[in-house]
Amino acid sequence: MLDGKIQKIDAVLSLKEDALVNFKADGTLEWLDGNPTNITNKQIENEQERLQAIEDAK
Amino acid sequence: MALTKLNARSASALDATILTGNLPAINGSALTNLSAGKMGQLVVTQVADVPSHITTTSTTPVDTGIARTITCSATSSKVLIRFYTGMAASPTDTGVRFSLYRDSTNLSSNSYNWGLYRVEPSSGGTNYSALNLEWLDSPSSTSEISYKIYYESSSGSAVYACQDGGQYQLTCTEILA
Repeated sequence: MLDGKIQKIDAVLSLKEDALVNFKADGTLEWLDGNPTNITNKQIENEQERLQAIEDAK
Repeated sequence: MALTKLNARSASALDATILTGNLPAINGSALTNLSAGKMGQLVVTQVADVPSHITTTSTTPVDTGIARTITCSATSSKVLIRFYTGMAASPTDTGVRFSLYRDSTNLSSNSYNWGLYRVEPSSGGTNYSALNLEWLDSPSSTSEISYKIYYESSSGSAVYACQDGGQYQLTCTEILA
């Protein structure tokens, strides 16, 4: 997290602490470990919102 | 009094240090004894407001997606590559390692030697830094080539090649022989 703003990388690492990922310049997400737990984009978005709400409440 | 017309080509030994005011335009083809290299072309990839973090947890080089293609006009040309990015990193014990690729070839002497930005574990808050890297390449090719920026995390923690709202610029300049 940078400057209190939760990004997708934060959500991914919250869902799977050891996730091997790469967010490229065009915003695409590469799963370098093959996404073994089948995390979906919807899960990432939901987790991003949840974490941001926690951050905003601080 | 009669006027005498001066020979227009009689000023071959003109002292340029005494010239002032408006000077005549000079065609570059009239210049001689210039042996320095010449710029062939300059191409740029830049984004002024990156929409989301360019970030990875990979400990092996992965593509940032930042790339620039160039086609040299001669095999003797060199290419000067310049890369600027506004980096950011969380306060973790990790390093961001950059490498430069020409197509699929890593031009760095190892996977992280083109540039390394290290964040010490004791540093607090978010770390920001402008990163400027240069490399002079001799591709020996007149086919289209692509220079790409790769990066990796030294520890597996998330590292950022460019932050959300930041900017980066990748410039390739062809230097003619």
